[in-house]
Amino acid sequence: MRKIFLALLVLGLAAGAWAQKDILILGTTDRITQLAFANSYDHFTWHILRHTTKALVGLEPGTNRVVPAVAESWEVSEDAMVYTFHIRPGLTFWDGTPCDAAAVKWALERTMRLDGPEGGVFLIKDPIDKIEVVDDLTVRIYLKYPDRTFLIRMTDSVIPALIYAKAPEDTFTQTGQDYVGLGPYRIVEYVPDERVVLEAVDTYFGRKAKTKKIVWAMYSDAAALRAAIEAGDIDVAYRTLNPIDLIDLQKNEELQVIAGPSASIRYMLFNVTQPPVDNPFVRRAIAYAVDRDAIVELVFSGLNKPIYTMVPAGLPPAGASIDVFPERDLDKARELLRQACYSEDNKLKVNLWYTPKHYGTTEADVAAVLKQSIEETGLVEVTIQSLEWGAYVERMSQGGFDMFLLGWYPDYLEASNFLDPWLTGAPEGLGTYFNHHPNFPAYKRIMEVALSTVEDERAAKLYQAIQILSAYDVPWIPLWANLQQAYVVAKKNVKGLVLDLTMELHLDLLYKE
Amino acid sequence: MGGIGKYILQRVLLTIPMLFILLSAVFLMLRLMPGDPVLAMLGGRNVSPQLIEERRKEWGLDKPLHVQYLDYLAQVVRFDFGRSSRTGKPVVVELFTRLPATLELAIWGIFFAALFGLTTGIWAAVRADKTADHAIRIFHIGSFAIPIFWLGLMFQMIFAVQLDWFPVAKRVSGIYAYTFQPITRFYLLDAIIQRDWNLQLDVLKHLILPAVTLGIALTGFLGRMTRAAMLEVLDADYVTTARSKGLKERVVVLKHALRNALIPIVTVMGLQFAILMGGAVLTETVFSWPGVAGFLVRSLDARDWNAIQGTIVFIGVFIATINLIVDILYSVIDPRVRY
Amino acid sequence: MQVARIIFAPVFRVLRPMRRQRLLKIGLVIVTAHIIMAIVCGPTGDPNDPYGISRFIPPYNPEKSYPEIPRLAPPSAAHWMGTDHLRRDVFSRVISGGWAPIVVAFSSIAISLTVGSILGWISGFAGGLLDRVLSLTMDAIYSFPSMILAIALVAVMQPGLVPMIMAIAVVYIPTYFRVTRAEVLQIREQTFVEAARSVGASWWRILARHIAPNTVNAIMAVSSFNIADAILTEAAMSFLGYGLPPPAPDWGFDIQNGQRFLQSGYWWLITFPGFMILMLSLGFGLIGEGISDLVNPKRRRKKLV
Repeated sequence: MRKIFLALLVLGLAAGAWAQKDILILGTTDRITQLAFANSYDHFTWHILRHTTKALVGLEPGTNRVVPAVAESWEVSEDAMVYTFHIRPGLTFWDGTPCDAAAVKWALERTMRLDGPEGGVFLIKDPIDKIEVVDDLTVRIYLKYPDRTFLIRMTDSVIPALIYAKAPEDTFTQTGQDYVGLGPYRIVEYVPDERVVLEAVDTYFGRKAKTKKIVWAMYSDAAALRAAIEAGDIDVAYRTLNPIDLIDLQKNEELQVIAGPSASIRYMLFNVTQPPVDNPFVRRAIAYAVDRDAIVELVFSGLNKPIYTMVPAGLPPAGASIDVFPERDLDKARELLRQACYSEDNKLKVNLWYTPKHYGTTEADVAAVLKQSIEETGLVEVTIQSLEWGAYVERMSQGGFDMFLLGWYPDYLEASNFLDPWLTGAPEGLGTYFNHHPNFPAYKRIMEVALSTVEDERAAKLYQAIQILSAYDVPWIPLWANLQQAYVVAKKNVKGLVLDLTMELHLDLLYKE
Repeated sequence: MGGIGKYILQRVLLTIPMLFILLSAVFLMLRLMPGDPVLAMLGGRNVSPQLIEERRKEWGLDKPLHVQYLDYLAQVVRFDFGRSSRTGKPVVVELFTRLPATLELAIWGIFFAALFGLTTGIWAAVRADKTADHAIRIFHIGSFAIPIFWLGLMFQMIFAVQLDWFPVAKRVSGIYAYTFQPITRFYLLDAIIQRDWNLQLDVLKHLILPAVTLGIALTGFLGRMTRAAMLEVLDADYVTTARSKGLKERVVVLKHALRNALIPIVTVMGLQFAILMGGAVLTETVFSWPGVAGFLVRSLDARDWNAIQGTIVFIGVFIATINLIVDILYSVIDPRVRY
Repeated sequence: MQVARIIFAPVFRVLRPMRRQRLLKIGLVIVTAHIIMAIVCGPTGDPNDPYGISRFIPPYNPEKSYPEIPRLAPPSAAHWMGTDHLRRDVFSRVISGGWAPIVVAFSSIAISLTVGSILGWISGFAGGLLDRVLSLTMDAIYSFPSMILAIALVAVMQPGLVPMIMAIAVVYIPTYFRVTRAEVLQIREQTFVEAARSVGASWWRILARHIAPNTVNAIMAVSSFNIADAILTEAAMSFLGYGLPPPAPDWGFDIQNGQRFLQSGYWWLITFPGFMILMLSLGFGLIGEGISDLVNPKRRRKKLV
């Protein structure tokens, strides 16, 4: 009896040692909000969901080209209003349920019907008119208006576009185990604020995941995350380490520090209806006065990159991004302020609002540096004010800020996604009140034309036009790109780190040597 | 016995209106605070006002205040605090999964407080009015004056970063994070149950810095209580008798005097849970300790109304219960207490 | 001379026993030094020279980053407490940051003292239902962890000086309420009050003549301890980000900022501000001890037999 027990023990230990290699432990400071397709809208939750199931199409890691996924091919009608998808034959969900046109239609319609207020369902709901099952393996989607971004919206980088089965009809999924997916990984455990454990699915139709088990350990702050990667507790640390820690870790022999491209940007916004920033001279003057280099150097130890337009370079369509905002020029700023009738004795008084934790603890420093750089004109007095995120959003949506800091991470990788929200979309809820600006209809018209343009080159030109105009009206001031969020720190033996503008860590490619 | 029963009933009855006041205060506080929970969730995105309205209706926020209040009371009586808008789970579940972490920290905090407090207190009493007494007194006053979050950070800096003796934060190392299946969620206990020696050591190492930090916050209080209680008994007749019998001073102090001094000390310790919970907010924040107090701080930032209400009421009930138990125990032990 | 002696006699009578109070003296020295520092190095209200740097106190404007200051340099002759990541002088920030905790602690305790005592008096005299309700409310606040309550309250409001004061004030009201109410109840029973009553003296007169002076000593000691505690609470609040708006120098907030650099070994960013909080709180703690010793000399026990 005892011998058997010992033998079992030895076997168990051996299995454990073998299993060790097949496990990757990743650390993050991000949190999951709700594992719901129709009711979540943040990077980490989407990251987890998109590894459990697939959409009609996907983006190729590294290149961001649209590639087949659930659909093995597709056709677009000439007027860009009808999209026909041909589903991969023999495709099944984890539990063996076949994935056919009806299943695709059900999943998409369920997501659109539930349309949770915390989710980004409008990303697919807005353009879709109706979904039609043509035959078992063909599904056709009719749009309400021509939309050049539609195919990108149907990729698995947009979570509402994902295809799943067996989710509750009228409640959101919550635990990650209340639906059946068809992706490379399945969620086996989720302990809020602690960890998520993913396990590779054998029946996955695509490229086999290289690591059997993935554990995401959630750390409360960057300091704890750094300690964990340094101590060797975790194999990979991703999102978000402090700049100073990244610089420190670069010196560590056992670790690799890799910078990916980043589509996450930070900027200042103005409520263009509220004095004193309703005056375009004032806004232009501030655009000349802000010191992006100081922010990047002092607050972020040089790890981020100043930007001079809202559209990150490298985003489709090619050539859409154009630097339109001026370099720092204090004389020019003073000149504009004088034209707006401000002087040393009659200084311009503005508030600068920020929120202390939502964008990391560096935000207060950013505000301090901005204040000093604007005040260096000698003609401005900046009062810094802050509110916790909840109160911040409330006040913002009531238009209670004159000048405030915000950040953007794209919903889908297309230039319009960086221009639409504050300019041509409905900006009232975002507090810029640009829809009351006299030039608003012009912006809106250009955007409409651009979106119905299938040809990339022409669309890129139109996007450029919007950016050039925005540098005159200055509803915003682009400040820096958050490269810092795209840094991956990993042990030297971790391979398969493919980084691209999605800022996605492609788990199925990761493995340990 | 009937007397005690009546006393207990009286104390319980007195606790209820207190909790009721706390409940109402929390409710009112949240309605007055800026920051709509619905907007906090929808966070800076392009959403239609009608979606916001829908969500508000779903959470019952469109009803008049008094109806909301009654709904809320009805909920609380059933010990149901609704779902956390941040994590999506019922608040009660969130609290009970986090309570063991806080309790474990608190228990070890008390352990270290007792360790430092008793030794310094006894020493000060024995050396009353000598230099050692004065030095200890300054130490005790100092322990009241230390900002606990700063102490935690200094410990991290010295013992974790510079000397590398202890980990910086969290309850257990990442290597155990996925294999370790907590049963009781008191990690040390779990480690002992699982008979994993390395795990026990790991958990202990994670525990020491935060527990000592929290313990120091209580040391001054306990130390002074001990000193006073010891002085009281060291003068008592039976101690003088013991001494005159020629017993060693060590025996007199530790066996005869301390034993009798302990009763009031232990009682007071039980009542220090409130201070301990206050310290736990900061300790849990500094050491990324996944407890109840840290949960409250996160919920406050997220304007997670259900979670804030739940946590505050929970802490209130918790402390009231502990005070009640201590009171009752004390009245049972010490017959001098009048019921 | 004679007049002066008569006027100051009570002052001397109070001060005389203080001579032997070493703790009280140390405490007073620390606190006085801090207050002087706060006045000299705090904000001047002059927009052109907000921190009196033209007087070389402090050496640099604590809010400004200077291109000539090195980034994250350890303490040196030029920068006694080193420099931070925004090229600011830590020493200037530390000595200019002292006013906020003092202002917050004093104002909040003053508010709770006033409100608490008044409520205590009313409750003690009125008795009945009002007394019950007030006492219960106060007990509810009192039994709840003060640090958590204060943090929750300040999180409810906008961050800043006034919200911090209000939040801390609420937390300490029950303390003064209890002290005053107990005192009132005790004195109500005493014969001299009854005698005064029978002579026809009004309650206000009795209050002013007999009760207030008795309560004052106890309240003085309690206030010192509470100020020491309030300083820690203020620091904790600004550590959690509910304090002064940046770039104002603020010890708790600077510690929070320094936390990011802790693991990279930049020890000076958190060590110095934290030490100042400790000293200031310790100063008030010592004063409280001293006063308690004065009021209640028996606390210092006779030697062992």
